[in-house]
Amino acid sequence: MSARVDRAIADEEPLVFDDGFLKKLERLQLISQKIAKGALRGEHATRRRGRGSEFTDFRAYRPGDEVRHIDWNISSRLDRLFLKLFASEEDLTLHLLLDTSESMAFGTPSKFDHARRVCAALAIVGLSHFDRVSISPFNVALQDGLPPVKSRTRIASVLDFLRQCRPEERTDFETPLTEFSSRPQRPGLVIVVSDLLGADNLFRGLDALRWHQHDVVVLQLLSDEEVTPQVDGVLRLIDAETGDDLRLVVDAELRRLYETKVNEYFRTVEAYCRRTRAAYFRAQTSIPFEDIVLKYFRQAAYLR
Amino acid sequence: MIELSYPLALLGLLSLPLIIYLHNLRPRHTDVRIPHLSFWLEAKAERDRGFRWQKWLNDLNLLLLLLLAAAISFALAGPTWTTATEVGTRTVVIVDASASMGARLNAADIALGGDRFSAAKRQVQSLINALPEDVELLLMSSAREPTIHASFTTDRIALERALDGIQLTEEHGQPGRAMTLARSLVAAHERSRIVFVTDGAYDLSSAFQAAGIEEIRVGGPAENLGITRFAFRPELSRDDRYQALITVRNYTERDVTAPLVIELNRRDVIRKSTTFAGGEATTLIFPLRGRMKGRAIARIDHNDALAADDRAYASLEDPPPRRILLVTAKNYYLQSVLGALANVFIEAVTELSLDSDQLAAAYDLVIFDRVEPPPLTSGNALYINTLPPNVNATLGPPAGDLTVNVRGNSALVRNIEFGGIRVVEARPLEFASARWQPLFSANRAVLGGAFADTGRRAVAIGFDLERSTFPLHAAFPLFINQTVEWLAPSLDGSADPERVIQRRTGAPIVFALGAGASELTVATPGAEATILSVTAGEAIFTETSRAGFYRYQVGGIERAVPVNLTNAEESDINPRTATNRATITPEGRLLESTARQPLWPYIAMLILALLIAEWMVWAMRREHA
Repeated sequence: MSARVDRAIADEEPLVFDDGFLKKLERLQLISQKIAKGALRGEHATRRRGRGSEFTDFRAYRPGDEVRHIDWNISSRLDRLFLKLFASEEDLTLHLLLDTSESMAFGTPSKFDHARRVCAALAIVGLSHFDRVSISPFNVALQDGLPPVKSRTRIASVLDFLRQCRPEERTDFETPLTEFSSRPQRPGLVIVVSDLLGADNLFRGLDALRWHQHDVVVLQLLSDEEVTPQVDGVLRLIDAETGDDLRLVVDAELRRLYETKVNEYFRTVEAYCRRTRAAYFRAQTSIPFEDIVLKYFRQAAYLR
Repeated sequence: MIELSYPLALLGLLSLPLIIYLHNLRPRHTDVRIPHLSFWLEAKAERDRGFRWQKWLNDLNLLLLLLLAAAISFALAGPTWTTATEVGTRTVVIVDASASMGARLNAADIALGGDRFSAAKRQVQSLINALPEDVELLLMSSAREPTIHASFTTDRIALERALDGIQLTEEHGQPGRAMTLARSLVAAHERSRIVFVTDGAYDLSSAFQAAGIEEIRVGGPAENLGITRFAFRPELSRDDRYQALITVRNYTERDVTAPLVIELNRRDVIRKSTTFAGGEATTLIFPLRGRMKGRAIARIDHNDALAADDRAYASLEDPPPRRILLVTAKNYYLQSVLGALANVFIEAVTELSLDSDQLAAAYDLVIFDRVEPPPLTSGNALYINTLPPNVNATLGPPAGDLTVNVRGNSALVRNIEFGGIRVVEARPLEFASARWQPLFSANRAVLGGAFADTGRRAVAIGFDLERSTFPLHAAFPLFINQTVEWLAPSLDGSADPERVIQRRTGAPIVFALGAGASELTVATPGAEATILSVTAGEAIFTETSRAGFYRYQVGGIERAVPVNLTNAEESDINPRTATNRATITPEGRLLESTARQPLWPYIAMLILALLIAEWMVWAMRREHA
C-alpha cells in the first residue's frame, strides 16, 4: 500500500455521519427491483407460509401493512400498533462489492472515501430494516470481506470494517466477481461500487453476477480530473496501478479526444446495463455522497 | 574535379554523430500519476493516426541538420572546382606594367636577364611566336589604368610591334580594372582565355576578380626598401623654419641600414645613415632652417631590387603672384583685405581705360567697386554694387535695409557664416540665366551671386560694402579670399597653403592658367616635351607614368610639379596572389590549363536554403506535436 494512499486516507474525514443524515438513512428502506417485481416471490411465499418463519423484531404499524401481523400484546401495552417482523418477509441481502484497487485512491475527495461512505450509508439503511448486509472488497481478486450481518447492533462493526479497507493492488473484475457469485448464497441486491476502470473484463464479471440471479446495481465513481482532465504540456503519464508510463504532449486537441474516449466507455457501460437490466449510476466525487445515496438510489427506486 | 584548400576543415563532419545524439534526446517531461492510462493511450493513438507523417517530419528535420553540418564543413574546407581550359580561339594577354615589374630578378632567375618586365615581355613574345593560326590575341597592359595596345588579331607582326610599344611605368598597379576589361571583351565567346603576365605582387579586392584568369608568373620574393611618404611643411607663423617628413618601409625581415639623403636644389640638406627595422615603416621628421624654396629630392642609397621607390620628389616654389586690378574711388576695408592675401599683386585705379579683353590679358582678376564696368567678354571679375550689361543679371531697385540670413549651397560660401549682416539700401540681384548661383540672401532678396561661362567668371554683390556691416564680420575676409581663389586660382590648380605640390604617378595634372593662356608646354622627367592646348583656362597632362619633376613655363619662369610613386602596396614587390597558373611550354605554347573556381559562395547559398528549410520543418513539427 503506497504511502501516498495512507496519507490521503489519513487526511480525509473519519467515517462519521451527522445525526441528520443518519435519521434520513434510518427512514429509508432498500428495495430490490427483482423482489419488488415478484421475480423471487415464489421463494419468499414458501417461507411466509409460516413454517420455519423466524420472528426477528417489532416495528410500528404503517398504513398498508397486513393486519394479521399486528402483535396485539405489545400494541395493547404500549397503546400503539406494532407489527411482528419475520425473517422471510423482509429477508433482503445487500451485498456491497467495494473496489479497493489503487486507482480508487485518486481524486479530491478520493473515490475510495466516497465509495466507503456510500457503502456505509447503504449498509446503515439495510441494517436499520433488518436486511442482511455483506461487504466484499475486491481488487485483483476478491478480498476477505464482512460476512452477512443483521440488525442495527452491527452497524458499528460494518463501519469498522470499512475503515480498515485500503486501496491497493491492480484492478480486475472477472475473477473477484465470479468468485463472489460462486459462493453458496441466496440471490440478493448486489451493488458494485467502483470506477469501472483498469480492466477490460468488467462485463464478464457482471455477467457472473447476473447468472446467479442477483439484482445488480453498478455505481461508477470517478474524480473530476478523470472525466475532464486539466493537464497540459510535455508530460510523462504514469499509471498508478501498473507503473506503465506514456510520454506525450497534451494539448486541447488531445484532451478533447480523451473525453471522447471516456464518454464512449460510459455509453458502452450504459448500453450493457440497459441490455441486462442492471441499474447504472455514474457520479463524480464532486457530488456529495449524501446526494448519491438520497437522490440517485431513491430516484431509481432502490430506496424508499 | 573538386579540390580542397583546407581539408582539415572536414573534421567538422565529426559533429554529425553529435547532432544525431542531441536529436534523439527527448525533452524533459513532467511526471503526472494518473489512475489509468487506457483512455490516454486510445486518444493518442487516434491523434497519431491523423498525423502519420509526424515521424517523417522528425526524420526530415534530422536529415536537414545533418546536411547543414556537412555543408558547413565542406564550405570551410575551401573547395574549388578545377576545370581544364582548352586553348581558346580568343586570348587576352595582359602585361603587368606597374612599378613593381621594374624590380631586378633574383639570382635564380638571372638567366632570364634584366628585370621582371623584360622577362614578362619575353614570355609574351614567345606566346606570340607560338600562337596557333586560328587563335586571335589581344594585347593589353595594366598599370594604374588598362591600355589596349593591339585588338584581337592573328597578325604576329602587329602584335610584336604592339608589344614593343608597351613601356614599364612607375605607377601603382590596379590589375582588377584590367581583368574586368578583359572579361568584358571575351564575355560573348565561349572558347576564350585571359592570361595575366605578372609578378603577382598585387592585392585583389575579391576572389571573384581573379576567377577565370590564368597567370604567368615572373620573378619571385625579393628584398626592398621603399619611400612611401615625403613632405615639407612650414612651422606655424615662421617663414624660415620647416619640417621635412619622410616614411620608409622595410619589406625584408631583417633590419637594414642605409644612408638617407634629402637634397634641395642639388645641395644636400640632410644626410643620415639610418637603420630601418625589418617589416616595419619608419617615419623621420627633420627640422630645417632658412627659407626653403626650390626642388627637393629624397633618396635612399641602397642597392635593393626596386629602384623606382628609392627616390621621392617635392617642390617648394612660390606659385606666381596673381595680378589683381582694383577699380575704386576708395574702399578701406576691401583694400585692407586684399592686401592681406598671400601671393597677390594689387594695382588700384580710379578710372579704367582698357576693355574687357585687354583687362583679361593683363590681369587675373578685376574688381569693380561702385564704378560702371565694361561688358565682360572674357576674364574674371568681382562686381560690388554694379554689374556689366552682358551677364544676364541686373541690380534691382533699392530694397531698403535688409539683414542677410540665408546662405547658398555654393562651395564658394561653404563654412562662412553670413547671419546678422545688415545692409543699408540693398539692391537685390535679379538673375536672367541659370548660370547664376545665389551665394547669400536676405530672405528672398539675393544679395550675392556667382556666374561662370566659357572664358568668363564673375561674382556680384548687390550693395555698397561701406553701407553695410559686412566688412566688420569675420565672414568678409573669408569671402574675399575664397572669391579671389575661385576667380583667380593659383597656378597648377593648387591652393596649397603649405606650398608643397605633389602628384602620384599615373594621375593627371590639371593646370589652371587663367583666361589669357592658349597653350602650355610640359616636359617630362625624361625631357620629352608636350604642347598642351589650354581650354577654358585649363590644360590637362596625363602622361605621368614616371616619377620626377614635370617642368613647365609661366610668364617666362620655369616651374615644376613633382610626381611620385610613394605607394606602400606597390613597393611590396613580394608575390601575394594565389591565382591560377597557366601552363606554358618553353616554346611558348599555352597548354590546357586548369581554372579553379571557388565553390564556397554556392555552398553558402545552399546553407542558407537548408537553414530556411530546417526552420520550416521545425515549425511544422512544433505545430503538430
